[in-house]
Amino acid sequence: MRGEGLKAMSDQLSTYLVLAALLFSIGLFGLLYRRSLIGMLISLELMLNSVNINLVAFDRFMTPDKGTGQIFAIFVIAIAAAEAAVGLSIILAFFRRYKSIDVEQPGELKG
Amino acid sequence: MIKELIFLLFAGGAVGFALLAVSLKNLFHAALCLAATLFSVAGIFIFLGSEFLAVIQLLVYFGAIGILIIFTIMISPPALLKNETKSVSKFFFALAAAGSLFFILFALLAQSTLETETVELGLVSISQLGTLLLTDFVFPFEVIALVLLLAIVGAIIHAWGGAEGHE
Repeated sequence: MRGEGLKAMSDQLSTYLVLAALLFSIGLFGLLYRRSLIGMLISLELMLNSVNINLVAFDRFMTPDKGTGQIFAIFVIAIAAAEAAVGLSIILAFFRRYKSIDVEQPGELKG
Repeated sequence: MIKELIFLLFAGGAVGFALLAVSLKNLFHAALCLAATLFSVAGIFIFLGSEFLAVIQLLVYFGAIGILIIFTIMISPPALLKNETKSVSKFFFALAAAGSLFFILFALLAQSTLETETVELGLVSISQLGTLLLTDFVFPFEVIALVLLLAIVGAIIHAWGGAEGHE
């Protein structure tokens, strides 16, 4: 963003976008690096959260009187909660079956 | 000045704890770091003028999801926490992928010329959000309620059904 150098850091859209991009990249790194399912779920939550920052930041700076971005963020949070509940119960079932939560353990579907 | 310092504290806390959350070997510590990141992001939401979302973030993310992950680790057998085997090639592959994604996003941001407008903080009130939810977004709102119900029922069946079934 050009021409915003005079404004305080917490009043610039670009600050929040860079922060969200950083968090998203960290989440992607964790998702690729981790081998345990819980670790991957933790990284996934990070990525969803960074998207929320983006949505709210655009809502604040681009269409400040609409609130649409906040509504979308609420939906993302609701979906993330559902995803965490289902994901963790699948992890428990997975652990009972394979005695491990390493994603490279089960090879039955390789054919 | 104080405001900027507090903002830096929250932003730095979010990034630092996120780094810890993806890199710590102990999953329990990683889950605690995730909770700290979620708390910092709630602070970022306050700076963005959406107090309602900050409270929701604390209740749902920091409270519910954090507790859910920590409880899953705690009620599971210790073998679940067995240290993961890490491979160096995987580390560099993940680092390259995430690093290049951040580089691309940053390069795009650096040359974008978005017109931004800032209004006084706190313009979108909670009652406005509620009105939006029950007028323009009433259909997704109802769908999300159904999705949450199905997810909870499915989670209970999954976590419970195998307990007596397999072994």
